[in-house]
Amino acid sequence: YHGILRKGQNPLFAFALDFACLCARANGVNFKGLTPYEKKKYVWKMLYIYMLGYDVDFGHMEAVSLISAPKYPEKQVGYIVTSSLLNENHDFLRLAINTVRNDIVGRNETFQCLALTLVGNIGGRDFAESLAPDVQKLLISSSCRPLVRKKAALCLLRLFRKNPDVVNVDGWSDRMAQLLDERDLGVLTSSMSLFVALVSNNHESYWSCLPKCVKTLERLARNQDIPQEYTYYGIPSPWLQVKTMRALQYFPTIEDPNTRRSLFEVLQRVLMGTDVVKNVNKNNASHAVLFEALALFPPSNIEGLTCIVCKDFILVMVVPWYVDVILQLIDKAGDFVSDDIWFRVVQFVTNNEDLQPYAALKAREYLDKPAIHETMVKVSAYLLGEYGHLLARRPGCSPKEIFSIIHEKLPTVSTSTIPILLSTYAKILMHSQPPEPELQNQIWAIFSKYESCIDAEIQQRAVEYFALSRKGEALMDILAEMPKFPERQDPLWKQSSLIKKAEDTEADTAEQSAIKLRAQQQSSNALVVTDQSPANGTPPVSQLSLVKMPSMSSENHNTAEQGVTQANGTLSVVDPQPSSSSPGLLGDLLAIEGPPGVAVQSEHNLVSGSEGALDAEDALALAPVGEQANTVQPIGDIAERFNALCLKDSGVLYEDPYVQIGIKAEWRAHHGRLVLFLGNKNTAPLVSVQALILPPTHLRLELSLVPDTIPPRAQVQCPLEVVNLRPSRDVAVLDFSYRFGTNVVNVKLRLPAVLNKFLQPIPVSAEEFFPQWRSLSGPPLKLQEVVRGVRPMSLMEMASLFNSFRLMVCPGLDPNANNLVASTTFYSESTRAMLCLVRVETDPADRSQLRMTVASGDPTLTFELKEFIKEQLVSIPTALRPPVPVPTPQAQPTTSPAALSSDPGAMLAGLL
Amino acid sequence: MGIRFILMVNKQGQTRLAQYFEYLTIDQRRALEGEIVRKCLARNEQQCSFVEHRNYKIVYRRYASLFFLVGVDNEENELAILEFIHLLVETMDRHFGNVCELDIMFHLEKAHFMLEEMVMNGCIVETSKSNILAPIQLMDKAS
Repeated sequence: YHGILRKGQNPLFAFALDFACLCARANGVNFKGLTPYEKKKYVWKMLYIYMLGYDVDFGHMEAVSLISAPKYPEKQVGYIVTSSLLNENHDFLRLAINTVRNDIVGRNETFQCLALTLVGNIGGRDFAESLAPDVQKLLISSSCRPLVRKKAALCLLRLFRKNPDVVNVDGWSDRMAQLLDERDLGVLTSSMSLFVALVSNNHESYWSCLPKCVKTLERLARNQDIPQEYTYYGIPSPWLQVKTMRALQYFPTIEDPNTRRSLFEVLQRVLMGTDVVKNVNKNNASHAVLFEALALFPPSNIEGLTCIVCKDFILVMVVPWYVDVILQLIDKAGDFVSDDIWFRVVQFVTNNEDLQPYAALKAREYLDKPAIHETMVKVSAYLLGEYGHLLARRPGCSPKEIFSIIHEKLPTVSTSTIPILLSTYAKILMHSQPPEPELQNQIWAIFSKYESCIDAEIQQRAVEYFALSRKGEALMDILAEMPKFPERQDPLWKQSSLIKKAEDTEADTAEQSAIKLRAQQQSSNALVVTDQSPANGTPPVSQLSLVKMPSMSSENHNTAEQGVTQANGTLSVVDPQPSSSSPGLLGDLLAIEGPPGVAVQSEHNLVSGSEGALDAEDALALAPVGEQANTVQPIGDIAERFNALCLKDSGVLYEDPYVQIGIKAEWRAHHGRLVLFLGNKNTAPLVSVQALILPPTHLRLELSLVPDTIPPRAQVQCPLEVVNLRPSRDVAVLDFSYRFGTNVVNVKLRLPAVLNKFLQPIPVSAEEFFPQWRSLSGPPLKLQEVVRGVRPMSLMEMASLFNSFRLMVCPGLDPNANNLVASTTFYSESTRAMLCLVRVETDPADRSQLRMTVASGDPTLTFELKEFIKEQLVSIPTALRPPVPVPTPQAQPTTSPAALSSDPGAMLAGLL
Repeated sequence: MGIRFILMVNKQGQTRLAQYFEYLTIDQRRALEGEIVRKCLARNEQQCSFVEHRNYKIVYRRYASLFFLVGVDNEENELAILEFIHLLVETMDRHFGNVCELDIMFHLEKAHFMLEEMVMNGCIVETSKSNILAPIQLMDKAS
C-alpha cells in the first residue's frame, strides 16, 4: 500500500489499509490491542486525513473510546479528535456523555478542562440539560482555578445557546456581575463573551453589570493591574477591550451619570491615545479598540460633547486617509456616492489647512484621468478653485493649466455641476491677481456666454462673477477662501456612522433621520453672510445668503445640494427670508440675521437696545474714544453675555446696531482656541476696525490678523490661540474699535478665557480622594476659609453650579449630607495637569455662610481656585444687577467701586 | 460574534490545519476551503486582508509560505482578529522557535492544543502566551 500512496492514490485508502493491517497485527481485531502510542498516532492520522478533505467514516468509535482512557495524553487526543470529527448529533457522542460528566465533576482539573472544552465546542441540547448546573457551579466556584473557570464560562455559553433556559436570568444577573469583577484576565475574557451573549438576548436583566463593564474598561485603559503577559504590543488585552465595548453597545443608554462619565473618560483616553505608529501590530490592535469605541458613540449613548474632544484627533489621523478613501470611492463608484459624502470631504479639507495642498494635488491627479465621474468633477473643481493656487509651482498646475483641464470637463457635465465650475473659474481668476489677460478673456468669455443661460442659478452666477471680476482687486475680498466650517456637529459621529455604513448600507435611512433629528436639536447654525455692494449697478434682489452646512441643518436637509452650491458660490441668493429660520436655531447666533432694525429687536435680546437698560459695568466697558462721544449703545447686557460665555463655549460676546461679535471656543488641557466672528450688520462697510488683545500675564494669546475693513453684511473670523501659563483669575480683554460713518465705537470686552475653562472634571473614588486629601496637609497647598454672604442656594443648586464650572461633585465621599466634595484637574503650562480637591461645609441653619477648603499641589493654584469659587458663590451675576437708566455716553470709570468689587474682570475692563 | 473556522493553508493551497467551530459536512468543507483558498491566494500584498465570502468575513494573513485564514461572522471586529492571528503565530513561534510550515505539519497535535487553549466555541479564551503554552510544556516535560 505504500506504493499506492506514492502513486498519489487516495491516501485514505492507504490509511484504511494501514489501519486495518495494524489492527489485525495487534490481533485484537479491535483497536484496544494497540499500544497507547499507536492509538494516538492513528487517531491523529485520521484527523489529518479528514483535514485533507476525505470523509473518514471509520475509527470514530476508537476516537471516542480514547476519551475514557485513564491517562492524560490519550484522553486529550480522544477529546480533541472527537470534537474535531464529530458533531453534536452524532450517536457516538451520547456514549461519551457519562465519561464527560464524570470528568467535569471529577477532581482532576486537567480532565475538567478537556471535558469542558469538548462540551463547549460540540455539546448539544442533551448536554445542556444534564451538565449546565455542574458547569455553572465550576464557573462561580471560588476554589476552582482560573484555567478551569475560563473554560466553564465558554462551555456555559454553548449550553446557553443550545438551550437558553439553562441560564436562569434572575439568578444569573448577580452572579454575572460578580464574575465581571474577576481579576484573572483569561476568566474575564471568557466571561465577557458569555456576557455578550446573555446581554444580546436580554439587556434589561443585566443592568447591574453595566458599571462592572465600565470598570473593566477603566482598568484596561489605565493599564492598572494588567500582567505583562496580557499586554499586546503595549496595549492591555485589545481583545478584552473590544469584547467589553461590544457588550456595552447592547445597552441603549447609560443612566447613571458617574458610570457615564467614567465611560466617557475611557473613550476619551482611547481616542486621544490612539496614534498612528510604525508598528503594524500595535496599530491594528489599537485601531481595533478605537473602532469599537467609535461604535459606542452614536448620540443615544453619549452627548455630543464628546465630539469636541474627538475632533482634533479625527482631523489629525483619520482625515488624510478619509479623503483618500472617499476620492477613490468617488472615482470607482461615483454613482453610489451621495452628495453629502463629497460635501464632507470639502468640509474636512476646508477645516484642515495641512490637508489643503494634498487634497488639491489629489484632485489635480484625478482630473488627468480620461473619464471621470461627474461627482469627481465637482469635488476636483471645488478643491482646485479653493486651493489650486497652493500648487502653483508644480508642473501642470499653473492657473491656466488648471483652468483648461477643468474646462475640458464642462461639456460633459450636467447643469447642476456648471455653477460649481463657474465658481472655480472665478476663484482661479481671483487667485491669479493680476490675471493673465489671455486667461481672463477666456473666463470672461465663458461668463458672458452663460449670462443668457436658461438655468437661473448658472445665469446668476455668470452675471455676478462677470461683474465682480471686472473689479479686479476687490474680487479678493468677496471671493476669499471659504471660512472654516463650524465643527460643532461632530465629525466623529458622522465618521463612525460612515464606518458603520460600510457594514450596513440599509441603515442609511435610519441614520439620515437620526442626523435630521440631531440637527433639529442642535442650535448651531453658523452662517456665513456675504453681501455684494450694489455699486456694480446690478443689485440682485436679496444678496443675503445663508450658507448652511447641508448635513447640519434641519431645514435644508433635503436641499443639501443647494446648500453646498451656495457654500461654493458664496454669492447666490438662497433664502430670501432669513427670518424663516426657527427661533431655536438662532439660539446662539454666530450669525447676523436680518437688517439692523430687525436685529435690534431679535428675540434673544432680552434687553432691547433702544430702551437699553444698561448697568454700570456695561457703561464702563464703553469707554469714549477721544472727543467722539460714544453714541452707539450695545444691545444686550455685556456682562451677562460674558458670564454666559464663561459657562458655555459659543455665543455672542457683544452686539450693537452695527456689529456683532460672536465667539466660539474649544478647550483642551491648557490650550484653547477661540474664534471671534466679527459680523458687519449693515449695508455699508465698517472701517478702521481694530482688535487688540490686552493679555494678562498668565495667558499667552495670539490673535490672527483682523482686517481693517469689514465689508457690508460680511462676517470675518479671527482665530485666537490661548495658552494658559499659570493659574490666575485675571481676565483677558479685547479692545475692539471701529468706525461707522461718523461714529467711532470702542469697546473693551472681557474674553471668556477664564480659569474654569482650563479645568477638566474628574471623578475620584474614596480610595483616591482621602490619601490625596491627607497628603496635602495645610497651607499653602490646602487653604481653608469661611465664606460669608453666600447667596442663598440649596445644596443641589450649589452642586450644579460647581459642575457647571467643571468642578465635579463627587457624591458620597463626605458622610455629612450638608457637605460637598468636588474634584477637578487644572491644566496650565507651569502646573501641567494638577488634581484639585474642594470641600464645602455648609450650615443648614445659615445658608449665607459656609466653610470651604481647597487643596491642590500648587500654592498659587490653591489660592486662585479658592478665590475663584468664592466669587462664584458670593456674586450673583444676573440677579444682583438692578436695571439702571442708560448712562451718559461719557460715563467715566468712577462709578462706585462697590458695584465693581464683585467682578474683578469688569473692574479691569473698566480701568483700562 | 465569533470565529467560525481557522485554516492554515500553504502557498500551493494545501490545508495544513483546519479547525471548525460550526459543523459542516466534509463536502461543504471541501467546497468552502477551495473557494476561499482560490480567492485569498490570488490577492496581492496591497489588497485588504479582509474578504467577504458567502456569509463569512475572511480575515487572513500571510507568513512566509503559510496563509492563516480565519472565517468570522459579520459582527466580528476584523482588526482584532487580524491581530489574534498574529498572537497565534507568536505563540507558535515561542513554542517552536522560528516556527515554519513543517513545524505545524509534523506537530499537528501541538498546533491543535494551542488552538484549543486559545479559542473555544469560536470565542477567544486566552491571550496570554504563557498560559496557552503551560499545558503543552507540562506534557513535554512528562514525556
